[in-house]
Amino acid sequence: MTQVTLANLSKTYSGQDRPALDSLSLDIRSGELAALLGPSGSGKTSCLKIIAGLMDPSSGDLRFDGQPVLQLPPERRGAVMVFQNHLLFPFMNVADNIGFGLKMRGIDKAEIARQVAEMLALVRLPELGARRPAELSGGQQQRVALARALILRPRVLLLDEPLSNLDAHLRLEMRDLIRSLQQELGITTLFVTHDQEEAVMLADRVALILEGRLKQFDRPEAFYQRPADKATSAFFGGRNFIPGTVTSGRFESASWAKLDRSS
Amino acid sequence: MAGQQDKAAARSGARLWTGFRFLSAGLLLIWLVLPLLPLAIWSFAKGWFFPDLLPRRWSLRAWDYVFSDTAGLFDSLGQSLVIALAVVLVSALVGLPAGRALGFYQFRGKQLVELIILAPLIVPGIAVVMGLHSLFIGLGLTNNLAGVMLVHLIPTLPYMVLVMAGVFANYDIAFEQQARALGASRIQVWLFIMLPSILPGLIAGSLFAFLVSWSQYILTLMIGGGRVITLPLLLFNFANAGRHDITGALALIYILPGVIILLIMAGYLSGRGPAFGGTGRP
Repeated sequence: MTQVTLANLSKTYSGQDRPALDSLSLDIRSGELAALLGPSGSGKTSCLKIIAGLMDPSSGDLRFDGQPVLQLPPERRGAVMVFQNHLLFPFMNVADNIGFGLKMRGIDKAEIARQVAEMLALVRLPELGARRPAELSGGQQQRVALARALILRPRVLLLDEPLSNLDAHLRLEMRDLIRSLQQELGITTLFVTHDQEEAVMLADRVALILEGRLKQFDRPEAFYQRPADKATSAFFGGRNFIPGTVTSGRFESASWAKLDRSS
Repeated sequence: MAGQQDKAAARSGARLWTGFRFLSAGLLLIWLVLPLLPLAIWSFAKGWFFPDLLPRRWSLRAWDYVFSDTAGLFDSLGQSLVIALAVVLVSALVGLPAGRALGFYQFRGKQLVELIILAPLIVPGIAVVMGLHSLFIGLGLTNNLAGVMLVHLIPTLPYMVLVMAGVFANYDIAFEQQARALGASRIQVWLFIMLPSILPGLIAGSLFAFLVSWSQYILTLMIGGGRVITLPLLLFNFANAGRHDITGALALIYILPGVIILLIMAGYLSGRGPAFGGTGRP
């Protein structure tokens, strides 16, 4: 169980004047399933890579359980990232893919085999250990990628668009699987998506990022009931906006007058 | 019925295609093997004169001589082998990072760099070696193995670098990031991700480099100064001396690595998976 704290994280790519990530601060609770939501190009994947240690931020701080981790290399952070396009190693079979992280830690073969079998059962692919990744369907590949990350018992699990490469019916199944595994194992999880429905269905809390800036970090229903601003509401499907003011619990708008006249 | 006619046409088309493939395979075999036949015949002949279709008398004399101590076959074979293996090793050590840089990165002047790498294949070796000769004398790199190895790198490096650049252009660096994300250190990433991905290409490039070094004549002659007698030099000596029988026997030994390498390569080039490695960009 790990609490993840992002403090004013910024990332500006060389040769670009606008930052991909602009002073992002988030506090993800221990065991929480949080979503980073935003249109493509809003710096979400950069954010995951920074947390995983695959990329350095331009400025800002990152802490796991209050301990600064930016100086640690990825293999010592305990934050494991699953990429969007699965990236199963094509020259290894499924079991070797899942066992890869344990092998890198120097764990002995028999123990790896035991844990791999356990993971295969957990993601409901018990018979497929000897297959090559190319022989699997997209949904199966996604599950293997998930198993490959979970076997490491990470402190933080980072998922980049875990559902975007799947068919509609597989997406539902995968969504339920991710949710139930996350609940069962209690791993603090941050996942990136551009689909607000996915974020709302899966996450405990959603962080909406527009143009590199955090708009709102809240429970899903709050985005409908109390959106931070017009752009936030528009992202969640708001279409009709009536300008006006609230005074002592009463909403008043100049537009009402026009409506009155036309009726 | 139109459908049946179509099927019949397709069948006869397929038959024609199969026939054509057998024909071209046959022609290719003749093209490659037929020129070697006289060498084999010569190596067993005791004199073979026009207009005889085959020699009148056969003999194992040439083979006896070739394997005797006086012929110098084993020394030459050893020198050729040592030079070729060292050249392959250095080519791989240089070609791998160079190919990785060329395959991955876009940078200003990349086309110029590629052209310069190709240049040794365009400029005749004899021109290069004429220019290098005096420099090598000054550096004490003539008449010895080290100098010959160094000069062999001129034609082998372009092959290695270009093959490796092709491999890396087809290699997705995201796999390395994924391995890092799963807790692999940098060295582990090279060992367990990069090396298996590029191995087929590395083998192909090494075999090319080996053959190019194995077949050098003029570079070895100039820089080796007659002290380093590789197999092609030995072969040329006997050919010059008009000993067709010994030349034939030596030539058959000389082409042996080429044949073995061709058989190995056939496995890689016959379309089983990615011919030159890489992980394939999704």
